[in-house]
Amino acid sequence: MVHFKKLVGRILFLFFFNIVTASYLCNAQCDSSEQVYTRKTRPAYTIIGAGAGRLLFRDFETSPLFYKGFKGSLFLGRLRLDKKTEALFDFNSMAAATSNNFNNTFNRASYFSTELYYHRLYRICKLSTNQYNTKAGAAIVSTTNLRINEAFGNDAVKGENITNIMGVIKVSRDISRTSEKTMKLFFIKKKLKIKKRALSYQLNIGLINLNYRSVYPFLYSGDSKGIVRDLMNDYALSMNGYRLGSHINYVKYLPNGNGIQYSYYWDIYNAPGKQKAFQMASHTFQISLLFNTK
Amino acid sequence: MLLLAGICAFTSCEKIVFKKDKASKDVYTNFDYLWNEVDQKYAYFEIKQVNWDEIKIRYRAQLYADMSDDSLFNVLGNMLKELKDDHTNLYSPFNVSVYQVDLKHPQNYDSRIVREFYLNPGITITGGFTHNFIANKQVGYIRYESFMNDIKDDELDYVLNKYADTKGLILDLRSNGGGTLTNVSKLLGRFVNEKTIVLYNRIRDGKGRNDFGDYKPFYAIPSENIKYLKPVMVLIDRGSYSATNDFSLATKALANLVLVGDTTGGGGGLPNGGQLPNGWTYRFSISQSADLNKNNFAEEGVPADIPAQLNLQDRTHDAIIERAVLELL
Repeated sequence: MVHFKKLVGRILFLFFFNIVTASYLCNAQCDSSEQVYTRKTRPAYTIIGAGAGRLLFRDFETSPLFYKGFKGSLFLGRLRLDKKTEALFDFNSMAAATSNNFNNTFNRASYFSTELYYHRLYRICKLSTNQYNTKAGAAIVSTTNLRINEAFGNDAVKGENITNIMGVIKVSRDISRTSEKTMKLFFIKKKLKIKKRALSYQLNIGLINLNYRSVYPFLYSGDSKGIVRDLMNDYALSMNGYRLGSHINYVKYLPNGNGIQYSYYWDIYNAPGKQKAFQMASHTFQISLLFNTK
Repeated sequence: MLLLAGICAFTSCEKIVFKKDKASKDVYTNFDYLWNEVDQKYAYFEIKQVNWDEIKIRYRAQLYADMSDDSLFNVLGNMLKELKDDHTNLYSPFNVSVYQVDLKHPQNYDSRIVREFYLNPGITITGGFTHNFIANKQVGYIRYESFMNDIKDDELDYVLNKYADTKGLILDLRSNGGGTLTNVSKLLGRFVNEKTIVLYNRIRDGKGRNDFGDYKPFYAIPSENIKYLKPVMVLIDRGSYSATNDFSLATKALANLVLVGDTTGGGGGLPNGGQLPNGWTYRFSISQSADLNKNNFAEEGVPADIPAQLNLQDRTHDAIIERAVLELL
């Protein structure tokens, strides 16, 4: 099983390495008739979003049981994109109320998380057409969690950082209505205006997976000013585990250049660390406003 | 690949990726889980000379497949009691297992006697501290019920300022079952003039039952607020447990703090929590406390510098307070 996972990991790494390399090389060969943007002229959006969804996690250090619950999140991002390249930087803050009630032993765990994400993608010409645009590249994502489960006494508060360098592939389809149409449904007749819309699917796969977790519960030194130092004393960095993510985005652009984006995010990671694994999966539906700043 | 990822995205792929849910009510699964957790993390097997392997054989034999939750609780709870440790508990929705070390020894604190004949009249309650002058206002008596009661600087300033002109203080920590170590350091900081190592802690960090990390010092750091540097008699008994045990151990390194009463109950280790596959939770000690010579005797209790016992026949005097007053005057 371990060998299988390593093999899969290597194949994925090579797959994404090839895609990134190919996309870089192919970029120069793309259709020269397309509008060329510079960094300054490339369309840019500020994104403000809010999401809700479901989260489950399991920390084998304290419990073999899954804690499940609802989450709410806020999203702030900056997106620059054209047909050839895309850069996204965002900050995501999340809170979740989870619980486990197996065998009528109701226990609650609060879960807070902040995340920084950056990706840069380049078009793969050979996988792109007028309607489909395939981009690939790399992302770095750093997630810091704080979890509180009062049932665990001195182990009630746990925190960790999960940082991943990920291979990214994104397929977008332009589903804009380029000419006015008339819709007829029984006796209803409606004139459909020209609309710019896009649908995309993005897959992120962790290539380098780091986690910074406490190996053992911390020992307090008696110095209240150094409590953070004490807290971090037994943290250790490990490179193991995996992370996967997929995003589906539907963007509807408004006549003024702004847009509304409806998204579904799925994020999952496993961070074994030095001792026992921490695992998390979340599903989020998010609505975002895209403000065109160019 | 995209299709596969898409299917994953909409069908809770974590069910495929994560190992299956470990939730289980099976008695053997839960017994083995608890036994292994203790085996891999408990810090006092050697000091307490506990034969954990023999205990497993003895208690596992008491299991049967369709036993009730209540019966399983009794087996697991009794197994944990073999550790003779009040930091070791099993929590279920219907019961909590406790060892109760203080009941294995004579009672040395009676709150009625203290309140009636020492704190009244004129009892003052400031945050977690109950206090008053005693012995013709020559001594300040301060009762601190629990280290769970958060110590606020201004409250402690008020208390220590009130007794600034006394010949000494009595700090009564009998039947104080412990609490948070931050309160220990807040209190210690009022009785020292310089940063002092007062004890060491080390954590079990390996699967071997005697695998520990390095000793890490615990300091008494002088407070920037009001301090009391005259003699302080710290009253202890078998009910002085956990954080109170640590405070008592720390006094061994400080000349102006003297322990009076019975040996403490122990509990120097840090109790850490966890959950069984059936949802019940547990805790047990995963670290050791040691004195400046790195002796681990404290788990069996910190002995008093001046031993004293309560005479329960005398309902008007607290012999331990009287012994402390005698020492101060």
